Amino acid sequence: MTRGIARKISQGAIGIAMGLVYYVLYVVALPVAFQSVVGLLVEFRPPADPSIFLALFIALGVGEGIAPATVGASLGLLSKVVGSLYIYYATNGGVISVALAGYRATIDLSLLIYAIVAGSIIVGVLGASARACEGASKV
Amino acid sequence: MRPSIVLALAIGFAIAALFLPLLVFAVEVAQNPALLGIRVDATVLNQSHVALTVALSYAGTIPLTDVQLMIRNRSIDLGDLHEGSTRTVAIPLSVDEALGLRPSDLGLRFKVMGIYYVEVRAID
Repeated sequence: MTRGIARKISQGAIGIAMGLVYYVLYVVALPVAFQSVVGLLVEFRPPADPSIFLALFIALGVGEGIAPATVGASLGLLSKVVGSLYIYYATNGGVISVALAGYRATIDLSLLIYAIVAGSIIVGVLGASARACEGASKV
Repeated sequence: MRPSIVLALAIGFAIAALFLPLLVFAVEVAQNPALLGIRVDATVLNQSHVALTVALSYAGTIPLTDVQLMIRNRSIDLGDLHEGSTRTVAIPLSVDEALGLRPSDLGLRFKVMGIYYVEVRAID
């Protein structure tokens, strides 16, 4: 009993860590990649307060950690879909504006955004199906 | 190695390869904002018209395709620009039209390596 509770708590802690990883990957890394690495002032428009996404990713991560394999796999996939949608809407569907000295540039990155969204969902579906199969074989 | 990990790595490499031309172009622009140089001169043709000469030079390593110069509602095709390319076009304008030109009336459209559409406009 105590061991089962301790296991659930550790799975929940791993879920919180996974939620933080998804948050950093999708919400923090993208603007930092453009503004620090590339050195361009890109205007990102988050679809909602980033703290809502932090809470959502942590909730989905905890759910993924403690729920049964099939449900957990679906929640893991949902994290990737939410992250992909965040990138899509924050970058205005891939059309971003950049301010340079005396100029304004509009760049259409939609192809790249679609590739990131599609890649993220494909990896999520494969991971979820592998987890669901592992869970089914244990039962 | 699991097939799903191999596929995830392949997708990651494909996205990185797709992003690379834009990343190189953005880094070059950030390091040298004059990478794509535009020089505009006006020559009087007669009492009612002037010729606006626009000279465009490009020093970047990533080719720019389908380059178009925009002046108000007009667009002029300039073809492709490679490293060291220069293009010069003369655009006849009426004196009133030339006097009313604002920096934001001039713009440039191109595709970075034929993939990413970019539009650049001056700010008034």
